[in-house]
Amino acid sequence: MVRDEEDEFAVMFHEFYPGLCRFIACLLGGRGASGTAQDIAQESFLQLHRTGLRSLPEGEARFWLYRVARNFTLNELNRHNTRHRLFGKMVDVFRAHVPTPEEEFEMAERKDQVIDMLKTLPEQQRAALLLREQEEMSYREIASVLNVSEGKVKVDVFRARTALRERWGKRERALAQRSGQAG
Amino acid sequence: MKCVWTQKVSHLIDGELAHAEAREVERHLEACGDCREAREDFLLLRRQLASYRLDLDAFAERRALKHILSGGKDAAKVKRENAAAPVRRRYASAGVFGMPRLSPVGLAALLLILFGVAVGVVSLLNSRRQTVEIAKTGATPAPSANANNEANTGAQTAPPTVPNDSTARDNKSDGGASVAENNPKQARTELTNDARRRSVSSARTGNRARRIESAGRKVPQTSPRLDAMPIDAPVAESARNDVESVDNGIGAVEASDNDAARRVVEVSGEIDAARHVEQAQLLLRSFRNARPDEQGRRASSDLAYDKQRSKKLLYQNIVLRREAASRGNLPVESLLDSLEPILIDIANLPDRPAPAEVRAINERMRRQNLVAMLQISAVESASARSY
Repeated sequence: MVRDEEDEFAVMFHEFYPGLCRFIACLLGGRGASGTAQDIAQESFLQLHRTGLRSLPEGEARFWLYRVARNFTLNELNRHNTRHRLFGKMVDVFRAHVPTPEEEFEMAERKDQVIDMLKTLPEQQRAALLLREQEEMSYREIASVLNVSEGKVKVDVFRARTALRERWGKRERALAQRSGQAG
Repeated sequence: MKCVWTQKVSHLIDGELAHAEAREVERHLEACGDCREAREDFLLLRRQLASYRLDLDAFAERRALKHILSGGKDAAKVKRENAAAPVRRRYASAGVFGMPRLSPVGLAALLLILFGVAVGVVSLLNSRRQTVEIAKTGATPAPSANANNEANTGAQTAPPTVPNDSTARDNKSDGGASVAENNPKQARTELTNDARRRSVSSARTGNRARRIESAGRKVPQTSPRLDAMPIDAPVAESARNDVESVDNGIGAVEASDNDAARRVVEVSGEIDAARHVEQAQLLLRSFRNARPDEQGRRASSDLAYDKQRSKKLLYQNIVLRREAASRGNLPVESLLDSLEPILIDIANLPDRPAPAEVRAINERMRRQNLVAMLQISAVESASARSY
Protein backbone atom coordinates (compact mmCIF):
# COMPACT_ATOMS: atom_id res chain seq x y z
CA MET A 1 0.00 0.00 0.00
CA VAL A 2 1.45 3.31 -1.02
CA ARG A 3 1.91 6.14 1.40
CA ASP A 4 -1.03 8.20 0.15
CA GLU A 5 -3.37 5.30 0.47
CA GLU A 6 -2.13 4.63 3.98
CA ASP A 7 -2.76 8.24 4.91
CA GLU A 8 -6.19 8.03 3.39
CA PHE A 9 -6.86 4.87 5.31
CA ALA A 10 -5.68 6.45 8.56
CA VAL A 11 -7.97 9.45 8.03
CA MET A 12 -10.85 7.16 7.37
CA PHE A 13 -10.00 5.04 10.37
CA HIS A 14 -10.04 7.98 12.75
CA GLU A 15 -13.23 9.28 11.21
CA PHE A 16 -15.26 6.12 11.32
CA TYR A 17 -13.74 4.05 14.11
CA PRO A 18 -15.72 5.64 16.99
CA GLY A 19 -19.00 5.46 15.13
CA LEU A 20 -18.39 1.92 14.05
CA CYS A 21 -17.58 0.89 17.62
CA ARG A 22 -20.77 2.54 18.84
CA PHE A 23 -22.83 0.84 16.14
CA ILE A 24 -21.37 -2.56 17.03
CA ALA A 25 -21.79 -1.99 20.77
CA CYS A 26 -25.44 -1.03 20.29
CA LEU A 27 -25.99 -4.04 18.05
CA LEU A 28 -24.47 -6.27 20.68
CA GLY A 29 -26.67 -4.63 23.29
CA GLY A 30 -24.26 -5.33 26.14
CA ARG A 31 -23.74 -8.91 25.08
CA GLY A 32 -20.28 -10.26 24.50
CA ALA A 33 -17.08 -9.69 26.42
CA SER A 34 -15.60 -6.34 27.30
CA GLY A 35 -13.87 -4.81 24.32
CA THR A 36 -15.70 -7.02 21.84
CA ALA A 37 -17.01 -4.02 19.93
CA GLN A 38 -13.51 -2.63 19.50
CA ASP A 39 -12.20 -6.00 18.45
CA ILE A 40 -14.88 -6.34 15.81
CA ALA A 41 -14.28 -2.80 14.60
CA GLN A 42 -10.59 -3.49 14.34
CA GLU A 43 -11.22 -6.72 12.49
CA SER A 44 -13.49 -4.87 10.07
CA PHE A 45 -10.88 -2.24 9.36
CA LEU A 46 -8.32 -4.95 8.91
CA GLN A 47 -10.54 -6.57 6.30
CA LEU A 48 -10.88 -3.23 4.58
CA HIS A 49 -7.13 -2.78 4.65
CA ARG A 50 -6.58 -6.19 3.12
CA THR A 51 -9.21 -5.59 0.50
CA GLY A 52 -7.72 -2.27 -0.41
CA LEU A 53 -9.40 1.04 0.01
CA ARG A 54 -9.07 2.00 -3.62
CA SER A 55 -10.38 -1.28 -4.91
CA LEU A 56 -13.85 -0.26 -3.72
CA PRO A 57 -16.07 2.17 -5.65
CA GLU A 58 -15.96 5.80 -4.68
CA GLY A 59 -17.89 6.41 -1.44
CA GLU A 60 -18.58 2.75 -0.97
CA ALA A 61 -15.93 2.06 1.67
CA ARG A 62 -18.00 3.31 4.57
CA PHE A 63 -20.98 1.10 3.74
CA TRP A 64 -18.70 -1.80 3.00
CA LEU A 65 -17.16 -1.31 6.42
CA TYR A 66 -20.51 -1.29 8.23
CA ARG A 67 -21.67 -4.29 6.27
CA VAL A 68 -18.62 -6.30 7.30
CA ALA A 69 -18.90 -5.09 10.89
CA ARG A 70 -22.52 -6.14 11.06
CA ASN A 71 -21.70 -9.59 9.76
CA PHE A 72 -18.95 -9.97 12.37
CA THR A 73 -21.39 -8.77 15.02
CA LEU A 74 -24.02 -11.27 13.96
CA ASN A 75 -21.47 -14.04 14.20
CA GLU A 76 -20.57 -12.87 17.66
CA LEU A 77 -24.23 -12.71 18.65
CA ASN A 78 -24.79 -16.23 17.40
CA ARG A 79 -21.84 -17.48 19.41
CA HIS A 80 -23.04 -15.57 22.44
CA ASN A 81 -26.57 -16.88 22.10
CA THR A 82 -25.30 -20.44 21.89
CA ARG A 83 -23.23 -20.00 24.99
CA HIS A 84 -26.01 -18.12 26.72
CA ARG A 85 -28.59 -20.80 26.02
CA LEU A 86 -26.39 -23.45 27.58
CA PHE A 87 -25.40 -21.25 30.46
CA GLY A 88 -28.99 -20.06 30.94
CA LYS A 89 -30.21 -23.61 31.33
CA MET A 90 -27.52 -24.27 33.90
CA VAL A 91 -28.48 -21.10 35.75
CA ASP A 92 -32.14 -22.09 35.69
CA VAL A 93 -31.24 -25.44 37.20
CA PHE A 94 -28.99 -24.11 39.92
CA ARG A 95 -30.47 -20.69 40.59
CA ALA A 96 -32.19 -20.61 43.94
CA HIS A 97 -33.35 -17.01 43.91
CA VAL A 98 -35.65 -15.76 41.21
CA PRO A 99 -35.64 -11.96 41.02
CA THR A 100 -38.98 -10.30 41.52
CA PRO A 101 -40.37 -7.98 38.84
CA GLU A 102 -39.49 -5.03 41.01
CA GLU A 103 -35.89 -6.20 41.24
CA GLU A 104 -35.78 -6.70 37.53
CA PHE A 105 -37.17 -3.21 37.02
CA GLU A 106 -34.57 -1.70 39.30
CA MET A 107 -31.82 -3.59 37.51
CA ALA A 108 -33.10 -2.38 34.17
CA GLU A 109 -33.26 1.13 35.52
CA ARG A 110 -29.63 1.06 36.46
CA LYS A 111 -28.56 -0.02 33.00
CA ASP A 112 -28.28 2.24 30.08
CA GLN A 113 -31.89 2.66 29.12
CA VAL A 114 -31.50 3.08 25.40
CA ILE A 115 -29.21 0.11 24.97
CA ASP A 116 -31.41 -1.94 27.20
CA MET A 117 -34.45 -1.21 25.09
CA LEU A 118 -32.58 -1.79 21.86
CA LYS A 119 -31.87 -5.31 22.97
CA THR A 120 -35.56 -6.08 22.70
CA LEU A 121 -35.71 -5.29 19.01
CA PRO A 122 -35.10 -7.79 16.25
CA GLU A 123 -31.63 -7.50 14.84
CA GLN A 124 -32.73 -6.24 11.43
CA GLN A 125 -34.81 -3.47 12.97
CA ARG A 126 -32.12 -2.62 15.44
CA ALA A 127 -29.44 -2.34 12.76
CA ALA A 128 -31.66 -0.29 10.46
CA LEU A 129 -32.65 2.10 13.24
CA LEU A 130 -29.07 2.52 14.45
CA LEU A 131 -27.76 3.21 10.99
CA ARG A 132 -30.52 5.73 10.50
CA GLU A 133 -30.37 7.56 13.83
CA GLN A 134 -26.72 7.33 14.69
CA GLU A 135 -25.01 7.15 11.34
CA GLU A 136 -27.65 9.22 9.53
CA MET A 137 -27.70 6.94 6.54
CA SER A 138 -30.47 7.11 4.03
CA TYR A 139 -32.79 4.19 3.45
CA ARG A 140 -30.91 3.36 0.30
CA GLU A 141 -27.60 3.32 2.09
CA ILE A 142 -29.04 1.25 4.90
CA ALA A 143 -30.40 -1.17 2.37
CA SER A 144 -26.96 -1.37 0.85
CA VAL A 145 -25.35 -2.10 4.18
CA LEU A 146 -27.95 -4.61 5.30
CA ASN A 147 -28.29 -6.06 1.85
CA VAL A 148 -32.06 -5.75 1.89
CA SER A 149 -34.54 -3.77 -0.08
CA GLU A 150 -35.21 -0.12 0.57
CA GLY A 151 -38.83 -0.84 1.36
CA LYS A 152 -37.85 -3.28 4.04
CA VAL A 153 -35.62 -0.66 5.58
CA LYS A 154 -38.51 1.78 5.69
CA VAL A 155 -40.69 -0.73 7.48
CA ASP A 156 -37.96 -1.87 9.84
CA VAL A 157 -37.09 1.64 10.90
CA PHE A 158 -40.70 2.50 11.52
CA ARG A 159 -41.35 -0.72 13.48
CA ALA A 160 -38.30 -0.19 15.56
CA ARG A 161 -39.36 3.32 16.46
CA THR A 162 -42.86 2.25 17.27
CA ALA A 163 -41.71 -0.61 19.46
CA LEU A 164 -39.30 1.57 21.39
CA ARG A 165 -41.93 4.23 21.77
CA GLU A 166 -44.33 1.73 23.29
CA ARG A 167 -41.74 0.36 25.67
CA TRP A 168 -40.62 3.81 26.58
CA GLY A 169 -44.23 4.75 27.29
CA LYS A 170 -44.67 1.69 29.49
CA ARG A 171 -41.57 2.57 31.39
CA GLU A 172 -42.72 6.15 31.88
CA ARG A 173 -46.06 5.00 33.10
CA ALA A 174 -44.45 2.53 35.52
CA LEU A 175 -42.19 5.24 36.89
CA ALA A 176 -45.11 7.61 37.27
CA GLN A 177 -47.16 4.95 39.03
CA ARG A 178 -44.25 4.15 41.33
CA SER A 179 -43.63 7.76 42.20
CA GLY A 180 -47.38 8.19 42.86
CA GLN A 181 -47.35 5.25 45.29
CA ALA A 182 -44.32 6.62 47.04
CA GLY A 183 -45.97 10.05 47.36
CA MET B 1 -51.32 5.93 17.91
CA LYS B 2 -53.86 4.41 15.66
CA CYS B 3 -53.42 6.89 12.88
CA VAL B 4 -52.39 5.34 9.57
CA TRP B 5 -50.21 8.35 8.87
CA THR B 6 -47.77 7.53 11.63
CA GLN B 7 -45.47 5.58 9.30
CA LYS B 8 -45.39 8.55 6.96
CA VAL B 9 -44.45 10.73 9.95
CA SER B 10 -41.52 8.37 10.48
CA HIS B 11 -40.50 8.76 6.85
CA LEU B 12 -41.01 12.49 7.09
CA ILE B 13 -38.52 12.97 9.90
CA ASP B 14 -36.07 10.85 7.94
CA GLY B 15 -36.44 13.07 4.90
CA GLU B 16 -37.41 10.14 2.77
CA LEU B 17 -40.63 11.57 1.38
CA ALA B 18 -41.05 13.37 -1.80
CA HIS B 19 -41.67 17.10 -1.59
CA ALA B 20 -45.37 16.94 -2.29
CA GLU B 21 -45.93 14.00 0.00
CA ALA B 22 -43.97 15.66 2.79
CA ARG B 23 -46.13 18.79 2.51
CA GLU B 24 -49.23 16.62 2.72
CA VAL B 25 -48.00 14.89 5.90
CA GLU B 26 -47.12 18.21 7.48
CA ARG B 27 -50.63 19.38 6.87
CA HIS B 28 -51.91 16.20 8.54
CA LEU B 29 -49.68 16.80 11.52
CA GLU B 30 -51.39 20.11 12.14
CA ALA B 31 -54.66 18.29 12.48
CA CYS B 32 -53.63 14.97 14.18
CA GLY B 33 -52.52 15.03 17.78
CA ASP B 34 -51.42 11.39 17.80
CA CYS B 35 -49.13 11.94 14.87
CA ARG B 36 -47.66 15.06 16.49
CA GLU B 37 -47.05 13.08 19.64
CA ALA B 38 -45.52 10.28 17.61
CA ARG B 39 -43.25 12.75 15.85
CA GLU B 40 -42.13 14.18 19.18
CA ASP B 41 -41.42 10.72 20.53
CA PHE B 42 -39.51 9.72 17.40
CA LEU B 43 -37.39 12.85 17.58
CA LEU B 44 -36.75 12.27 21.29
CA LEU B 45 -35.64 8.75 20.54
CA ARG B 46 -33.36 10.06 17.82
CA ARG B 47 -31.73 12.47 20.22
CA GLN B 48 -31.20 9.75 22.76
CA LEU B 49 -29.68 7.33 20.29
CA ALA B 50 -27.51 9.98 18.66
CA SER B 51 -26.26 11.24 21.98
CA TYR B 52 -25.13 7.81 23.06
CA ARG B 53 -21.36 7.80 23.32
CA LEU B 54 -19.09 4.87 23.77
CA ASP B 55 -16.03 5.30 25.98
CA LEU B 56 -13.14 4.41 23.77
CA ASP B 57 -9.51 3.94 24.66
CA ALA B 58 -7.55 6.35 22.46
CA PHE B 59 -4.36 4.43 23.05
CA ALA B 60 -6.01 1.20 21.94
CA GLU B 61 -7.33 3.00 18.87
CA ARG B 62 -3.87 4.20 17.85
CA ARG B 63 -2.38 0.80 18.54
CA ALA B 64 -5.06 -0.86 16.46
CA LEU B 65 -4.38 1.45 13.54
CA LYS B 66 -0.67 0.85 13.82
CA HIS B 67 -1.07 -2.88 13.70
CA ILE B 68 -3.58 -2.73 10.89
CA LEU B 69 -1.20 -0.63 8.83
CA SER B 70 1.62 -3.00 9.62
CA GLY B 71 -0.29 -5.66 7.75
CA GLY B 72 -2.31 -7.17 10.55
CA LYS B 73 0.04 -10.09 10.88
CA ASP B 74 -0.34 -10.01 14.61
CA ALA B 75 -3.97 -9.01 14.62
CA ALA B 76 -4.83 -11.79 17.03
CA LYS B 77 -2.19 -10.48 19.39
CA VAL B 78 -3.60 -6.97 19.17
CA LYS B 79 -7.03 -8.36 19.78
CA ARG B 80 -5.85 -10.03 22.94
CA GLU B 81 -4.02 -6.87 23.99
CA ASN B 82 -7.13 -4.80 23.48
CA ALA B 83 -9.14 -7.20 25.57
CA ALA B 84 -6.52 -7.18 28.29
CA ALA B 85 -5.59 -3.51 28.03
CA PRO B 86 -7.54 -2.23 31.05
CA VAL B 87 -6.27 -5.11 33.17
CA ARG B 88 -2.69 -4.54 32.08
CA ARG B 89 -2.86 -0.86 32.84
CA ARG B 90 -4.24 -1.63 36.26
CA TYR B 91 -1.44 -4.06 37.00
CA ALA B 92 1.16 -1.74 35.52
CA SER B 93 0.31 0.95 38.02
CA ALA B 94 1.12 -1.18 41.04
CA GLY B 95 3.76 -3.76 41.72
CA VAL B 96 4.12 -6.20 44.57
CA PHE B 97 2.50 -5.09 47.83
CA GLY B 98 1.34 -1.86 46.25
CA MET B 99 4.86 -0.67 45.48
CA PRO B 100 5.51 0.99 42.16
CA ARG B 101 6.28 -1.53 39.50
CA LEU B 102 9.89 -1.47 38.42
CA SER B 103 11.09 -1.57 34.88
CA PRO B 104 13.44 -4.45 33.98
CA VAL B 105 16.43 -2.09 34.15
CA GLY B 106 15.46 -0.87 37.59
CA LEU B 107 14.90 -4.40 38.78
CA ALA B 108 18.33 -5.42 37.49
CA ALA B 109 19.94 -2.46 39.26
CA LEU B 110 18.19 -3.38 42.49
CA LEU B 111 19.35 -6.98 42.25
CA LEU B 112 22.89 -5.78 41.53
CA ILE B 113 22.86 -3.58 44.61
CA LEU B 114 21.55 -6.42 46.75
CA PHE B 115 24.26 -8.72 45.39
CA GLY B 116 26.92 -6.13 46.16
CA VAL B 117 25.68 -5.73 49.71
CA ALA B 118 25.69 -9.49 50.18
CA VAL B 119 29.25 -9.78 48.86
CA GLY B 120 30.33 -6.95 51.14
CA VAL B 121 28.82 -8.60 54.20
CA VAL B 122 30.43 -11.95 53.37
CA SER B 123 33.85 -10.38 52.79
CA LEU B 124 33.55 -8.46 56.06
CA LEU B 125 32.73 -11.64 57.93
CA ASN B 126 35.64 -13.43 56.26
CA SER B 127 38.07 -10.65 57.16
CA ARG B 128 36.94 -10.78 60.76
CA ARG B 129 37.33 -14.53 60.82
CA GLN B 130 40.79 -14.22 59.31
CA THR B 131 41.77 -11.68 61.95
CA VAL B 132 40.67 -14.09 64.65
CA GLU B 133 42.66 -16.87 63.00
CA ILE B 134 45.76 -14.71 62.84
CA ALA B 135 45.36 -13.84 66.49
CA LYS B 136 44.98 -17.50 67.39
CA THR B 137 47.89 -18.60 65.25
CA GLY B 138 50.07 -15.85 66.56
CA ALA B 139 49.17 -16.59 70.14
CA THR B 140 50.05 -20.26 69.91
CA PRO B 141 53.84 -20.15 69.74
CA ALA B 142 54.24 -17.38 72.25
CA PRO B 143 53.47 -19.27 75.46
CA SER B 144 55.46 -22.29 74.40
CA ALA B 145 58.35 -20.10 73.44
CA ASN B 146 58.17 -18.31 76.70
CA ALA B 147 58.37 -21.51 78.67
CA ASN B 148 60.55 -23.86 76.72
CA ASN B 149 61.47 -24.74 73.17
CA GLU B 150 60.95 -28.40 73.22
CA ALA B 151 57.59 -28.43 71.55
CA ASN B 152 58.08 -25.21 69.70
CA THR B 153 61.09 -26.50 67.89
CA GLY B 154 59.30 -29.60 66.79
CA ALA B 155 56.22 -27.66 65.78
CA GLN B 156 58.00 -25.05 63.75
CA THR B 157 60.48 -27.25 62.03
CA ALA B 158 58.03 -29.99 61.16
CA PRO B 159 56.87 -29.30 57.61
CA PRO B 160 53.38 -30.69 57.12
CA THR B 161 54.14 -31.94 53.66
CA VAL B 162 57.35 -33.75 54.55
CA PRO B 163 56.46 -36.86 56.49
CA ASN B 164 59.79 -37.65 58.13
CA ASP B 165 58.50 -40.26 60.50
CA SER B 166 61.74 -41.25 62.03
CA THR B 167 62.55 -37.70 62.99
CA ALA B 168 59.19 -37.17 64.52
CA ARG B 169 59.52 -40.41 66.41
CA ASP B 170 62.93 -39.38 67.72
CA ASN B 171 61.77 -35.97 68.69
CA LYS B 172 58.74 -37.13 70.53
CA SER B 173 60.11 -39.60 72.94
CA ASP B 174 57.23 -39.28 75.37
CA GLY B 175 54.61 -41.15 73.39
CA GLY B 176 53.45 -38.58 70.81
CA ALA B 177 55.32 -40.14 67.93
CA SER B 178 52.40 -42.12 66.61
CA VAL B 179 50.30 -38.99 66.42
CA ALA B 180 53.00 -37.12 64.57
CA GLU B 181 53.34 -40.04 62.23
CA ASN B 182 49.72 -40.04 61.24
CA ASN B 183 48.88 -36.39 61.43
CA PRO B 184 51.67 -33.86 61.68
CA LYS B 185 49.27 -31.01 62.29
CA GLN B 186 47.64 -32.80 65.18
CA ALA B 187 51.06 -33.68 66.46
CA ARG B 188 52.08 -30.07 66.39
CA THR B 189 49.00 -29.11 68.35
CA GLU B 190 49.62 -31.80 70.89
CA LEU B 191 53.22 -30.80 71.18
CA THR B 192 52.19 -27.23 71.78
CA ASN B 193 49.69 -28.26 74.40
CA ASP B 194 52.25 -30.49 75.96
CA ALA B 195 54.68 -27.63 76.01
CA ARG B 196 52.13 -25.47 77.77
CA ARG B 197 51.49 -28.12 80.38
CA ARG B 198 55.17 -28.60 80.90
CA SER B 199 55.80 -24.91 81.11
CA VAL B 200 53.30 -24.61 83.91
CA SER B 201 54.66 -27.60 85.75
CA SER B 202 58.22 -26.57 85.27
CA ALA B 203 57.51 -23.12 86.57
CA ARG B 204 56.12 -24.72 89.68
CA THR B 205 58.94 -27.15 90.21
CA GLY B 206 61.78 -24.97 89.12
CA ASN B 207 62.98 -27.43 86.50
CA ARG B 208 62.79 -24.99 83.59
CA ALA B 209 66.54 -25.10 83.02
CA ARG B 210 66.54 -28.85 82.63
CA ARG B 211 63.71 -28.64 80.15
CA ILE B 212 65.51 -26.07 78.10
CA GLU B 213 68.57 -28.25 78.17
CA SER B 214 66.61 -31.21 76.89
CA ALA B 215 65.18 -29.02 74.17
CA GLY B 216 68.66 -28.00 73.26
CA ARG B 217 69.64 -31.59 72.89
CA LYS B 218 66.73 -32.34 70.66
CA VAL B 219 67.07 -29.47 68.29
CA PRO B 220 69.94 -30.93 66.27
CA GLN B 221 67.85 -34.03 65.72
CA THR B 222 65.23 -31.95 63.99
CA SER B 223 67.70 -30.39 61.62
CA PRO B 224 67.71 -33.28 59.10
CA ARG B 225 64.27 -32.16 58.12
CA LEU B 226 65.84 -29.20 56.46
CA ASP B 227 67.62 -31.59 54.15
CA ALA B 228 64.32 -32.56 52.68
CA MET B 229 63.73 -29.02 51.46
CA PRO B 230 64.55 -28.27 47.84
CA ILE B 231 67.52 -26.01 48.56
CA ASP B 232 71.18 -26.21 47.79
CA ALA B 233 73.62 -27.83 50.17
CA PRO B 234 75.48 -24.69 51.41
CA VAL B 235 72.23 -23.08 52.34
CA ALA B 236 71.13 -26.15 54.25
CA GLU B 237 74.47 -26.31 55.95
CA SER B 238 74.33 -22.68 56.97
CA ALA B 239 70.82 -23.14 58.20
CA ARG B 240 71.88 -26.12 60.24
CA ASN B 241 74.71 -24.15 61.76
CA ASP B 242 72.37 -21.33 62.53
CA VAL B 243 69.99 -23.64 64.31
CA GLU B 244 72.86 -24.98 66.34
CA SER B 245 73.91 -21.48 67.17
CA VAL B 246 70.40 -20.74 68.32
CA ASP B 247 70.57 -23.78 70.54
CA ASN B 248 73.75 -22.44 71.96
CA GLY B 249 71.77 -19.34 72.73
CA ILE B 250 69.39 -21.52 74.66
CA GLY B 251 72.36 -22.74 76.58
CA ALA B 252 73.20 -19.15 77.35
CA VAL B 253 69.73 -18.69 78.70
CA GLU B 254 70.26 -21.72 80.89
CA ALA B 255 73.28 -20.06 82.36
CA SER B 256 71.45 -16.86 83.07
CA ASP B 257 69.71 -15.84 86.23
CA ASN B 258 66.76 -18.02 87.24
CA ASP B 259 64.68 -15.33 88.85
CA ALA B 260 64.56 -13.13 85.73
CA ALA B 261 61.42 -14.56 84.14
CA ARG B 262 60.92 -11.44 82.14
CA ARG B 263 64.35 -11.77 80.70
CA VAL B 264 63.63 -15.34 79.77
CA VAL B 265 60.59 -14.16 77.92
CA GLU B 266 62.59 -11.57 76.06
CA VAL B 267 65.28 -14.01 75.16
CA SER B 268 62.69 -16.52 74.01
CA GLY B 269 61.16 -13.86 71.81
CA GLU B 270 64.50 -13.13 70.28
CA ILE B 271 65.05 -16.79 69.70
CA ASP B 272 61.71 -17.05 67.99
CA ALA B 273 62.54 -14.06 65.84
CA ALA B 274 65.90 -15.59 64.97
CA ARG B 275 64.31 -18.86 64.00
CA HIS B 276 61.71 -17.04 62.00
CA VAL B 277 64.35 -15.05 60.18
CA GLU B 278 66.21 -18.23 59.36
CA GLN B 279 63.13 -19.94 58.04
CA ALA B 280 62.19 -16.89 56.02
CA GLN B 281 65.67 -16.77 54.62
CA LEU B 282 65.42 -20.40 53.59
CA LEU B 283 62.07 -19.79 52.00
CA LEU B 284 63.25 -16.79 50.03
CA ARG B 285 66.34 -18.59 48.87
CA SER B 286 64.29 -21.56 47.85
CA PHE B 287 61.88 -19.34 45.99
CA ARG B 288 64.64 -17.37 44.32
CA ASN B 289 66.72 -20.36 43.27
CA ALA B 290 63.87 -22.46 41.91
CA ARG B 291 64.42 -23.49 38.32
CA PRO B 292 61.56 -22.91 35.92
CA ASP B 293 60.65 -25.37 33.18
CA GLU B 294 60.91 -24.77 29.47
CA GLN B 295 57.85 -22.55 29.49
CA GLY B 296 59.28 -20.42 32.24
CA ARG B 297 56.89 -21.81 34.84
CA ARG B 298 57.74 -23.33 38.17
CA ALA B 299 56.75 -26.79 39.28
CA SER B 300 53.35 -26.53 40.89
CA SER B 301 54.29 -28.85 43.78
CA ASP B 302 57.29 -26.70 44.76
CA LEU B 303 55.29 -23.55 44.47
CA ALA B 304 52.45 -24.93 46.56
CA TYR B 305 54.92 -25.85 49.28
CA ASP B 306 56.50 -22.39 49.17
CA LYS B 307 53.07 -20.78 49.35
CA GLN B 308 52.14 -22.89 52.34
CA ARG B 309 55.36 -22.04 54.15
CA SER B 310 55.00 -18.41 53.26
CA LYS B 311 51.52 -18.29 54.70
CA LYS B 312 52.68 -19.89 57.92
CA LEU B 313 55.64 -17.58 58.18
CA LEU B 314 53.42 -14.61 57.45
CA TYR B 315 51.33 -15.27 60.54
CA GLN B 316 54.47 -15.66 62.62
CA ASN B 317 55.91 -12.56 61.04
CA ILE B 318 52.92 -10.47 62.05
CA VAL B 319 53.09 -11.62 65.66
CA LEU B 320 56.83 -11.28 65.92
CA ARG B 321 56.81 -7.86 64.34
CA ARG B 322 54.28 -6.68 66.90
CA GLU B 323 56.29 -8.17 69.69
CA ALA B 324 59.43 -6.48 68.40
CA ALA B 325 57.57 -3.20 68.18
CA SER B 326 56.28 -3.58 71.72
CA ARG B 327 59.80 -4.29 72.95
CA GLY B 328 61.17 -1.37 70.98
CA ASN B 329 63.46 -3.56 68.92
CA LEU B 330 63.52 -1.37 65.87
CA PRO B 331 65.99 -3.33 63.69
CA VAL B 332 63.99 -6.53 64.02
CA GLU B 333 60.74 -4.69 63.51
CA SER B 334 62.08 -3.00 60.39
CA LEU B 335 63.39 -6.25 59.00
CA LEU B 336 60.16 -8.09 59.60
CA ASP B 337 58.23 -5.18 58.20
CA SER B 338 60.14 -5.34 54.94
CA LEU B 339 59.79 -9.12 54.87
CA GLU B 340 56.03 -9.10 55.26
CA PRO B 341 55.00 -7.87 51.76
CA ILE B 342 57.19 -10.47 50.12
CA LEU B 343 55.59 -13.21 52.20
CA ILE B 344 52.16 -11.90 51.32
CA ASP B 345 53.00 -11.88 47.62
CA ILE B 346 54.30 -15.41 47.68
CA ALA B 347 51.35 -16.66 49.71
CA ASN B 348 48.90 -15.05 47.33
CA LEU B 349 50.44 -16.37 44.14
CA PRO B 350 48.10 -18.39 41.96
CA ASP B 351 48.66 -22.10 41.55
CA ARG B 352 50.23 -21.60 38.16
CA PRO B 353 51.60 -18.07 38.21
CA ALA B 354 52.87 -16.31 35.17
CA PRO B 355 56.66 -16.13 34.97
CA ALA B 356 56.36 -12.36 35.11
CA GLU B 357 54.74 -12.50 38.54
CA VAL B 358 57.53 -14.67 39.94
CA ARG B 359 60.13 -12.44 38.35
CA ALA B 360 58.53 -9.38 39.91
CA ILE B 361 58.77 -10.87 43.38
CA ASN B 362 62.38 -11.90 42.81
CA GLU B 363 63.15 -8.44 41.56
CA ARG B 364 61.70 -6.86 44.67
CA MET B 365 63.70 -9.21 46.84
CA ARG B 366 66.81 -8.31 44.93
CA ARG B 367 66.23 -4.59 45.15
CA GLN B 368 65.70 -4.73 48.88
CA ASN B 369 68.59 -7.13 49.41
CA LEU B 370 66.21 -9.00 51.57
CA VAL B 371 67.98 -12.34 51.59
CA ALA B 372 71.25 -10.69 52.53
CA MET B 373 69.62 -8.70 55.28
CA LEU B 374 67.99 -11.81 56.66
CA GLN B 375 71.31 -13.59 56.61
CA ILE B 376 73.08 -10.73 58.35
CA SER B 377 70.37 -10.59 60.97
CA ALA B 378 70.65 -14.31 61.55
CA VAL B 379 74.43 -14.08 61.91
CA GLU B 380 74.17 -11.17 64.30
CA SER B 381 71.62 -12.85 66.48
CA ALA B 382 73.71 -16.00 66.53
CA SER B 383 76.83 -14.12 67.51
CA ALA B 384 74.93 -12.22 70.16
CA ARG B 385 73.60 -15.41 71.67
CA SER B 386 76.99 -17.05 71.59
CA TYR B 387 78.17 -14.80 74.40
